Amino acid sequence: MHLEKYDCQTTADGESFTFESVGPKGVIRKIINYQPLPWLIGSIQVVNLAFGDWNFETRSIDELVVSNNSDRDKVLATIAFTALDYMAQNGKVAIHIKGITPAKTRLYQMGINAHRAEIEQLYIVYGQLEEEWHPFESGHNYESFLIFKK
Amino acid sequence: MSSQFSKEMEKLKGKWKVTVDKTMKDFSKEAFFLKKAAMANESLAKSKKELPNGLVLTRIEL
Repeated sequence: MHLEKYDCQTTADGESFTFESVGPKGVIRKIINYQPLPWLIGSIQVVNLAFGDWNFETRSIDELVVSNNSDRDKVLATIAFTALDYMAQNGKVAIHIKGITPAKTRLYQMGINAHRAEIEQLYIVYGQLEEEWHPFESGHNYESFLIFKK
Repeated sequence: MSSQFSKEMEKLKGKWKVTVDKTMKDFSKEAFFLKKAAMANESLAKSKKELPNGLVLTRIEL
């Protein structure tokens, strides 16, 4: 899975990552955060992956911005690799992923689907459909995802 | 973490670089991320608790 991806900076605790998306719309600061949730799968801690653009004027995360910086695959690959890094640093964790809109959730789904074979060598991926969890398969519009080490 | 898993991870990550920046802002308290965590919590609360591999989602106090 030697994809093109952006190098990142991370906090000492490894819960926040940042990188710069570079494209026709300029340089956009992207922020990824992992928040522990009050849930376990068996004995595995569940954490939430969230992602947004940093707005330098409001000094906050833009919720619904669609940056269209012509680097979608590179951004998705970078997010995926922060997830691998987070799981490598934190041992047994399960990552929960849900976009803030259905369109953003579909983007995550496209990223998982594009690299499913490699991801499933090491990880179990479940998708949520109408409140039930299923092994990830192509062709469904999942509402959220859980990914954890086999 | 098993050494085999570490090797597989290194193969996956290739030359990708992550630099620890001790001066970097911790975004964990950003309103957006707290809201996303609350949404995730609500979504998990509504979901069925049994997973396909037989493991069970259990709520805990953090």
